Amino acid sequence: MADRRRVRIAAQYNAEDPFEIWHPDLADELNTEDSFRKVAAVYREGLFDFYFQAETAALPMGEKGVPEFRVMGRLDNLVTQSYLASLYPDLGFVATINTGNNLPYDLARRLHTFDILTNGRSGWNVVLGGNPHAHVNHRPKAVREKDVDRYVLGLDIVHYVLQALGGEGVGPQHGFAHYDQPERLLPPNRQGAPFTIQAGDSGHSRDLATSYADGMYTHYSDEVNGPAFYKDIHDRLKHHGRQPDTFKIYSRLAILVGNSAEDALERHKSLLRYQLHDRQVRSYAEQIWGKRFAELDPEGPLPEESPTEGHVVKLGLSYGLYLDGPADKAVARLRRISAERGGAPLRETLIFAAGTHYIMGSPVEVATELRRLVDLRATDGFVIAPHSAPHWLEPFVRLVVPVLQDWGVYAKAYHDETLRERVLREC
Amino acid sequence: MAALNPNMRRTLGLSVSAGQALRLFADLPAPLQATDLDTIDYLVIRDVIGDQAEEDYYAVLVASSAAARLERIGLVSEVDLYRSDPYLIARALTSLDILSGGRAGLLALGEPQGKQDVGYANTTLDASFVAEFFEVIGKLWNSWEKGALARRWEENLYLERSLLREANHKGAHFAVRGSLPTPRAVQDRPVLLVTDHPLHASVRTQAAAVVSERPPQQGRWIQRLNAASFATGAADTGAIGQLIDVPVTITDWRAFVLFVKGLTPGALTDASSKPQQLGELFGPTRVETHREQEAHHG
Ligand SMILES: Cc1cc2nc3c(=O)[nH]c(=O)nc-3n(C[C@H](O)[C@H](O)[C@H](O)COP(=O)(O)O)c2cc1C
Repeated sequence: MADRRRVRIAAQYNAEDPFEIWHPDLADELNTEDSFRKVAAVYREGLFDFYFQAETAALPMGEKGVPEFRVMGRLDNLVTQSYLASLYPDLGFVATINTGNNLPYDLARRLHTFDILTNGRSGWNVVLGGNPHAHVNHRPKAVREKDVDRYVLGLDIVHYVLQALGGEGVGPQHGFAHYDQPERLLPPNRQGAPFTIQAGDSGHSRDLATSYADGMYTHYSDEVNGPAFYKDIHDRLKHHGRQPDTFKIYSRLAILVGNSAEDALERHKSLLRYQLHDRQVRSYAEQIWGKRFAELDPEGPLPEESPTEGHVVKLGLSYGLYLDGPADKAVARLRRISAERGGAPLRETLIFAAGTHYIMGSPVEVATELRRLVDLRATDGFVIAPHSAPHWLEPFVRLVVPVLQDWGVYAKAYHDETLRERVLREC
Repeated sequence: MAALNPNMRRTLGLSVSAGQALRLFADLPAPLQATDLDTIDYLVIRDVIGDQAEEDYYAVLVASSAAARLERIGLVSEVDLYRSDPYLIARALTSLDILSGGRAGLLALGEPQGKQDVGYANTTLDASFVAEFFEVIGKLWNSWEKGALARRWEENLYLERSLLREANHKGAHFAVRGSLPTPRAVQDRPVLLVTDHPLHASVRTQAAAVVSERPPQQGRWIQRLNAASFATGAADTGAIGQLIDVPVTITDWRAFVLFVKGLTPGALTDASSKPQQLGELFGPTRVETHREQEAHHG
């Protein structure tokens, strides 16, 4: 059936994920061998397209220093995933690596070995440097930091690496002479260049990604933002003379599966207070409204007061809250989200305001919604960010995957294929 | 050279290229039990740099892959310091140490290989470069103090920032702020091995050991030799241990296990006497960690 679209599923875990719960009673210790191994076993059982890891280029710095209230700390992605590939050879692996603080020669070498260790199922999630201050930790580059345009540098590095690994392509073009043609191409391996996906949002990064990558990673997947993003990306692909169906969009997603809709809702409600601590709700509210509140009930309605006149919200991407800018706009957005959810209380509203789409329900409801979003062309697939490690996605694997398989929109076994082939595979 | 404690057992390691290691362990059906590898303490996985060769294998990643399939033994990856970055190497070594339960170490590449001008502002190669590289790894090592991962829910405190240490390093070759983004390693100190190459001259006394064919002028000596010499009793009792090259004729894990079982080390050894952590094999590394540096300067 030509119009039956495959529902692509991948999942993230290496801590610092949105929605992540760290209460000691509800989550194992993070960043341990045990947690990685167990998570990989679940993803393997679920026949996910790949196991995804995000990257922290450097610890974030707030006004008082490194934030203390949320999950922090990550291992090296390629070291961790090389370890896991040895235990779970069928899995695919996508590692986020920034172009700001890695040199192309070293990066190409690492990705070459990574592809061998993953049996050709390696992927690189290209980020252009999530933390602009990360360079303070690194050996100075030949390009002076103040001269770096992250898009230009990023594209040069990507071109160098892809050419070194794939033997094809244009090579660096843009004028950082320090990264000219690779001296010697690396020996051929199964996949050549890794499957590349780029995380980004701005027009500039969309243009970059559609010029070379195999896909994009986005936080859009709802029925409004998803189709707009999807269409924009396909237009850009055509502009670059590329076939849109060779390029796949994956959306970050949070998910909660219950035995029934009521069960899911109940669990969601009972977990809210572990996702955002009472103190954190207050802290966010005061930063967004720009004022202190004598009384504030996280389970109550949003404060009725208006934000302080002229206050500007500066939360950064803390908790994925896209609320920065004039406070009255941010508060209006929260009020809208609360109203759309039938008057959701303050804490729940803040959680829904996080920049990751959140689906919950019974197994059939969740499967239906995933398929609907894919059919709507809101996205091609999902990278699920679990709430806690390592067991969070077990109900998804055991209850939702079989439904998708019954509908013929999900693989029933792994094939021995490269990651690129796996991602492009249709039903 | 410091006098050897006569009761200290001599260690035995095997040196294997990253390419050979891959071929040896690629089709292992299950993790090799500690008892299969009774006679050896650690593997050195040599970096295979493709500048001039048919193959290119990045030793740290191969070591990580091997760590998942080998129990109990140490994993020392050779690293091309000249073309890498101490922050990235400290993070990688810490990560492997966490995953392997304290079995990770590093052997600095001796002779520089290939083109040095790969995009770093400073490509000066001298012994002070290697010394400073080690210094920075020491300052970044375990920049999460014990207890930094607090997980105290009542206080809304996952992390205790007062227990994070910055490196704040400024030197001729590197400026590195820190901290590492990676939680604490298992081992209290990084296990750093060096060679008798002149570029390693300034770090031999700090290193866990010096790997060389002949006794080095300074540092704890690990004698490197081939399997045939070892079998005919060429092990030098002045060394703290021997490192034997795995013959290239050994190409699968069964042959490897037979080879390992055939080794008869001097005063050894059974699996139960093996230390849990790699560093215990060599005696303490003398690279200063951030805490000691603070004690000195603070
Ligand atoms: C869904 C998503 C996930 C991302 N994950 C990471 C990450 O793990 N690490 C990181 O440094 N940056 C991450 N980024 C941010 C990218 O670094 C940044 O957006 C990219 O460099 C392009 O920026 P621009 O879209 O503003 O041009 C992510 C971005 C998106 C949209």
